[in-house]
Amino acid sequence: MNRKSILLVIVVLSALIVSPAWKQQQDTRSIAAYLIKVKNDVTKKTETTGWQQAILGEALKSGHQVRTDVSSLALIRFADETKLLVREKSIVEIKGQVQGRQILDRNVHTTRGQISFDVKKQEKEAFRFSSPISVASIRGTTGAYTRQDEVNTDLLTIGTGLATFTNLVSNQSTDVANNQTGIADGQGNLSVRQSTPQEQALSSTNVPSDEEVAPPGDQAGGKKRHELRFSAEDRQGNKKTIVIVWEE
Amino acid sequence: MKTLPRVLLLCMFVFAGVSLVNAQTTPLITRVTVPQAFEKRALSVSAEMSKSTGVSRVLLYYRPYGESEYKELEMLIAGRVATATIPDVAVLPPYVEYYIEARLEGDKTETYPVQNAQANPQRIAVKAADPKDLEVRILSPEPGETVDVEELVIAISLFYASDNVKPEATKVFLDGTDVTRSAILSDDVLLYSPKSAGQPISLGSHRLRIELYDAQGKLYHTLETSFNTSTAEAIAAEQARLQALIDGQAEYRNENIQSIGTNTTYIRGDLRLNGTYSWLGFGATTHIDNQEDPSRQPQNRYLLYGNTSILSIQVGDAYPKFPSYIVSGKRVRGVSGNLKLGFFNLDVSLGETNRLVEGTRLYDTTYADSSAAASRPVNSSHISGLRYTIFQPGTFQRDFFAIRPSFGSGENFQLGFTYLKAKDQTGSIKYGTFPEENLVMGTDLMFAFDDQRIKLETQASLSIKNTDISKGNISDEELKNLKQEDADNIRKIRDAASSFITINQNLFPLNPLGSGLPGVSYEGILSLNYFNNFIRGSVFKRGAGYTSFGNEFLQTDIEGYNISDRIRMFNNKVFLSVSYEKRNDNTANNKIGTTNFDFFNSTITVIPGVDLPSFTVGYGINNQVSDNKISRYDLATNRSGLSSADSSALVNARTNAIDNATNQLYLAANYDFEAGARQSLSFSLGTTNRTDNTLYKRDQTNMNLQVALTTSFSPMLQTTVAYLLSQNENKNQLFTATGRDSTLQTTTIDYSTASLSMLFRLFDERLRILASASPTFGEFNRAIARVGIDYSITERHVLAFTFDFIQNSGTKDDTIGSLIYRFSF
Repeated sequence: MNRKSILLVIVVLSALIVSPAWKQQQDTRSIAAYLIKVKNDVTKKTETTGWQQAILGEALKSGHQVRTDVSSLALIRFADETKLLVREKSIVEIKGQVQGRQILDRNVHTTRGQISFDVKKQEKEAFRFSSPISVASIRGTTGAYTRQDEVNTDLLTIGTGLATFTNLVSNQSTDVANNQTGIADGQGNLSVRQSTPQEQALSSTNVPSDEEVAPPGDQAGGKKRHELRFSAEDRQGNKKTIVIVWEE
Repeated sequence: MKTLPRVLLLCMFVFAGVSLVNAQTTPLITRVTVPQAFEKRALSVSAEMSKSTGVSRVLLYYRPYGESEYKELEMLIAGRVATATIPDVAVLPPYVEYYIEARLEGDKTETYPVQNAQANPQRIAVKAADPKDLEVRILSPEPGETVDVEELVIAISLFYASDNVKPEATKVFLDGTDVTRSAILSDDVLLYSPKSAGQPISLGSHRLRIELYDAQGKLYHTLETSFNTSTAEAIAAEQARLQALIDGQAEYRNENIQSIGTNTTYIRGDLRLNGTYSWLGFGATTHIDNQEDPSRQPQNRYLLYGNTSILSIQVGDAYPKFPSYIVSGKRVRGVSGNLKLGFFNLDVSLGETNRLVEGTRLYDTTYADSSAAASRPVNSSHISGLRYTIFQPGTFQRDFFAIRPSFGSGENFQLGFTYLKAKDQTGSIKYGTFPEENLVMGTDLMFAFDDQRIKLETQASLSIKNTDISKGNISDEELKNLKQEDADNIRKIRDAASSFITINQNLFPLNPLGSGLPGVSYEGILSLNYFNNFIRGSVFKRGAGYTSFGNEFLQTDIEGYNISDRIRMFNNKVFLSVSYEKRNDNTANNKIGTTNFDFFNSTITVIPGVDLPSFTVGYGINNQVSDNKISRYDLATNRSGLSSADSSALVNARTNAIDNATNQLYLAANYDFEAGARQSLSFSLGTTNRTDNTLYKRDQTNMNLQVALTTSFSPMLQTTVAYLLSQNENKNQLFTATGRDSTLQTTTIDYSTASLSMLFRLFDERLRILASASPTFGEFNRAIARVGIDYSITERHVLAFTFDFIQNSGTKDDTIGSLIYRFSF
């Protein structure tokens, strides 16, 4: 066998070896999710646009963000029936890749607020919730992920199933099981305890009634909430909504 | 005059309602009605009797496909109709088998079918769930959801669709209109927003149909669903406001059963209230019956209930759910509740299962001496000296308490522990014998993986019963009669356990964990659902002394295993089912012999498609063989050397000899076609052939043939013509006096029933006129005719009148009339 033939064999073998990688690159595409319900003030942001009013039925691709305002919520569904209920005053970003019908990975990143989830995770898929200080790798089905940005603390409640909860500050990890809540804070602390009934209730992705989304009175003091909204545009032409909320 | 009724009968027609009506007629049960059965959906069975007088209980025996053992349900008798619901877990393709047994006064029974019912049961074809339904997922609206019409978006996921499906070819129909062109296919999701498409829709109920097509453009599957639309304000108001529905009925019925000389009038009423208020559901049901009588168990029913997502409470006549070996289908009058937190759950039931019924004083008697008094019957009570009252025993009030804490939601895991105590109140009646007490403790465990495709369910329980607690715990005085060591042991047990169950010599079994585990029952079921196979295997044992007052129908002294597989083939057009079960009795090895049961069943169902006939062919064989100790004796054995006890045992053994094989063949077909009008033809043929290998030669053969043709000439007129032929032959070798030959007796019971029916629907179905005639010929010579009128006064108020005329051969005729007013608000 001459040198050319050896070279040809090496090239062919190399091509064969790396071909799956090429194929994967070609077939991999952004994951898609859909806004199935939008209540009150929900906005969406992509890599190319600022915050814009979210449209019912709109598709969310990898890198898109959804923001809910006071007394607002958004219900997001994926094709595999996974459901995310983005509760009021939250910001989430959807990330993920799909190859054919195999979801390779999904990440729901939040910088504030609360997401209730019902995950239909595929066997080979990595499904994660993340925030600036924690990552929750979901191996189960239902729960809630809460980012309390004002106190720099994350809560992960699992209704059914199991999740691995990691504090990114300290790199500590722990498992959070059925009816448990994991707590990660900005100091690197990580703990797990039994969930409270209120936390368990938040694990449900049932869309709450308008009354529950915007309660008529303050839960603590029975005060009535008032709200004024002004729509405007910034210098870049992005639509903005100014919301003034007060209680009496 | 005798010919007039016959002429009238032939002129009448049968009401062929919405459900399947079996044409088979027996002396007591005239009609059994079963709706179309669907996989894993509870199934209501109602049996209509020619009379209810003299019927003490009606039991429905059913078994899912592949199981040889029947489970019992007590049917609720209301007038001449007895009803029961087969639980969803038992409704599995290809069919459920059942028979009905009516227990009559004087310890008589009658069955449906009339002959050899256990070996020759009726079959209810069960339609299998179509797995293609799972290939389409409706993301929005969710099932049963009422959505704001302004926010309606229809999202259909084809993520799980087969590779054969061409997503781009999918069609979407909203209320029958093709809206596919306005829908957007984004990845695997079809989205359609009527508002964005400029196609506003009305408020109210809407139907959504999705048609999937393959690459060749052929229709692959159709799925239909429905949803409601409303306004945001109305939805919010609806969620907040009190919603309640009241419905019920009042009935007057007269049964003039001249054939047995009774004339009974029934007056009864039912009232149901169901309501919701925000997160709270609540309701009440009442059944009032003029047959309520303190000398019988309650006929009236009362129930109040309330529930939230985590808590439900029932006050009144409830049927609490616990592991089936401990409580199943038991009515408890009291308080039952269920707390469901997921990680922790609690089921509790507290009340009474038997109402006290005072016994009847028959007469007083004085015995000649203390020796004669000592041998008096147990149903006697002391008055004074040697004078006693003899009585007919009544029923003690039986108190019932069951509790089951459990851990896990039951979706993937649940571990539960059950405690049951039931005790007769000894002082509740004056004239009663043998008050009893029962204690059962059990545990159950469930694991499920891979979306419940792998599921393991187990339960185990331990029971002990005291068959007579009238004298309470064994006393220290009584213990003195025992050996010191035994007395000390029993005293220790009594002191430790008497708060759980009365400790005396009437405990049974004395050692529940003794040889053969007589007080133990367990069951393990593993099911696997992969590659179009649904495989189910179970092992079970129910000890010889196992008793639970929460499930008194459970067959005990049995152990064995069962395996079955249901295979879907050719795009769900062919279903093959096979099952095998092996079991035996004598689990404590205390019987004279052991009987082994083998049960094999196989069925193939072919559903080729619309406008083609579907059919089922089944074959089964059931062997019952007792071991040599029983079946191999023969009369030629020289018994002269046997003791009296052995000789008696031998006679008993012969009487109980079991060695038989039963072959069953089943063929059924259904064909819907057009021939002048829409026709639906059904046919079934079942044969049972039992060969008895004992010296009694109790061979049996049964053949049942049923044919029915329903014709819908127009929405206004529907007719049904049906015919049933039943041929039964029973043999028995009769042994007579010594020195004479035995003879083989053969009994045949053949009969046939023809029925003709007609239903008119008039004035937009506000008026329904129905009539039927079903004469029976052969062994039972009788004819039943029915005329009925249903009139809807308004949408929520209906009057129904029915009149039955039963012509009996050789005795007087019976008439039954009823008037029912149904209402709802």
